[in-house]
Amino acid sequence: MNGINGAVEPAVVVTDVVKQFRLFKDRRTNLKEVLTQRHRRNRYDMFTALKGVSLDIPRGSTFGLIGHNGSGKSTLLKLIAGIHQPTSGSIEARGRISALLELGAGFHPELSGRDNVYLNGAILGMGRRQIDAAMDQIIEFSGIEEFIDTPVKVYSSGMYVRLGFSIAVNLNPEILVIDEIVAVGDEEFQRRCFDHLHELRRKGVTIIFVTHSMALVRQLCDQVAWLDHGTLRSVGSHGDVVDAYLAEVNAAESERLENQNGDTAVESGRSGTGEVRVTRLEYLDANGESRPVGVGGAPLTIRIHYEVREAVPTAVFGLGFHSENGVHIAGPNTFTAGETPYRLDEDGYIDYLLDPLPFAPGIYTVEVAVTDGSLHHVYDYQGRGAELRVQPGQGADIIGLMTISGRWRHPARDREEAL
Amino acid sequence: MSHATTDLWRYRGLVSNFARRELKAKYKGSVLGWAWSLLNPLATLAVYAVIFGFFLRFTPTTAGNGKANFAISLFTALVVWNFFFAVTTGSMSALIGAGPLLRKIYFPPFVPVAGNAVGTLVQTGIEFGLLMVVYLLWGNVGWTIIFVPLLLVLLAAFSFGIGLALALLNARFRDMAYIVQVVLNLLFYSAPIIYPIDFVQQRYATDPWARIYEWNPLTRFVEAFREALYTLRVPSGGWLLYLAGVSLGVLVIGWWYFQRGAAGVSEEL
Repeated sequence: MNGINGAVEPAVVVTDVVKQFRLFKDRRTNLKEVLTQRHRRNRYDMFTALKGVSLDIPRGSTFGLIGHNGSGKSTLLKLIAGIHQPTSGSIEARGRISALLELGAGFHPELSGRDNVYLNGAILGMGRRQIDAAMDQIIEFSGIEEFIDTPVKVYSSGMYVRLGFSIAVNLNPEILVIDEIVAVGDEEFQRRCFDHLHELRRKGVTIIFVTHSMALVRQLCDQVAWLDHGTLRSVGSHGDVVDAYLAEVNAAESERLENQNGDTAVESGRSGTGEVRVTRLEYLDANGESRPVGVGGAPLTIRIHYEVREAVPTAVFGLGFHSENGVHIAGPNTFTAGETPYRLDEDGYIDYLLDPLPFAPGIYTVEVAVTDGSLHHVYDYQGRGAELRVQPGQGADIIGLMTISGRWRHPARDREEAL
Repeated sequence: MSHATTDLWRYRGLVSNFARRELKAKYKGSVLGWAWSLLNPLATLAVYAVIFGFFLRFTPTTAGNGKANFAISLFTALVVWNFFFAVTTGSMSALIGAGPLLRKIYFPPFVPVAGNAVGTLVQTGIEFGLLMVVYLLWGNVGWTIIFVPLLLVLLAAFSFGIGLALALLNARFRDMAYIVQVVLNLLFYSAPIIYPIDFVQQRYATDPWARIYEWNPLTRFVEAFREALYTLRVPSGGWLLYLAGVSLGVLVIGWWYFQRGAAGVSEEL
């Protein structure tokens, strides 16, 4: 439990917290209903968002909360921030909490950006002078000098987040609580946010955040808690918890896809003369077992099943991989690989082996084509032949769309080692 | 209660922020702006003065300077009533209005209610200032004016206590605001604001129901303010004690009731 922080005293102690929400079928908000309706007790269902969660968040640590949607992450954050009270159990936060929970959290739409800074500072219990001292820094960091005296109701979502984040981090929090919002700003602002988070971390601020980005968890967190349907599955250093979490998510997704459709049938965007037709693509893992998805960094075989309607003397197979936003990443084919064109008389399949599958997690479109030896006569072409879903693997994260097989060399050190 | 005072002190910045916003936002976008905060009560005063003083010929009591003026007597009572009215109704809307904030960020829910009371107090201060100018010009100022700050503190405690309770009730049952409108209307006419207290006392001197009328804290507040400012008499000590007791009691009960339900209020707004 203590991880790398040893016996550091906790900044937040969560003890056996249960949180139930009443889901009103038809909320009684007027007196007449209260007085006239009987059986009042059955008018709402109880929804238990947290079912007895206990954990300590060490002072000065960066603590990630992960879990699928509806697992209770955000509820726990709201309880820590003091917005809701636990139904039973207790939460003790030792230090001034600054929370950034939703887009535009804590903003009054009619007030100007500047007035909202005062409002938020006052909510955090700061005096006017303290806020004045931080004002310039906040405005500068948010990068919205021009609009600081305009009512925030006209702000764009990006501006909301910029100002909100800027306020939250610049008003000297002792405990910073962030729900998944930082992702809204542009690339440059995000980078500044992360730089700032690193700096706060150095200063010893306890940071608690919810995210779905495992890369961010690996990058920032000392410890991670995994919530699942309102219970705590595990707490620990990020590596173990994230791996366990991903393994389960991957398994669940595979199962779902398998139930949907066994193989990736090939249909849309078709052209070609049809002597040879690709019937389906199949993905095989290292053990040769058919899988609905690929795992980044693990071997993958793409098996192209074809049917021969008319024997052809020469045939070339090709594949094309496109990222979700349309980038054509690669287009391997048997011709450029130096394979002699095949003579095809009967139905069969051909394998394309990738070891390892170099793609980053995501969804890719696979196009598939069969042509004759000259490459000009197309037997069958499918622009959107199939979908290849790549899940994150166990190893290091893939940065960008795919890994490339380069090697690093540092002559100076090599010389040192040789000596 | 000691917890309450530390909380109040800790969040004084936020209370004043809410108060300032209340004042700022009130007349925003209107041409005359701040002037409305004075024109509004003056217009009400003019309406009542014309109807009750001129058409219906209500006779005012004699003031400390030997003269009598219905409008000035009415103005004194209206300032008191306006404060009570603005604090009680404003408390309800202040808590509802703070709902979007309270759902997203933590601060004690009494803060917007207190902010509304403080903002109203500032506004009432201005009205009192105007009232004092009128009294100076009319030549009716006495040492009894020293009771005014004390009375104002008691009135503030009384109104704030009621405002807290109503704010929480209204958060749970939104009809509260409408019920309160009706009740306040009744209260307005059942306190000697537009008519002198003798009106009722002379006619129903022996009626046991008149006791209820007399013991109504608002009747007592209006009378006490009128004595200190208009007739320049020392308010009766017994009634002052009564007001102090009632105000403190109402404040404590209102606060206790509010705090008891405050923790869950962010889910109800």
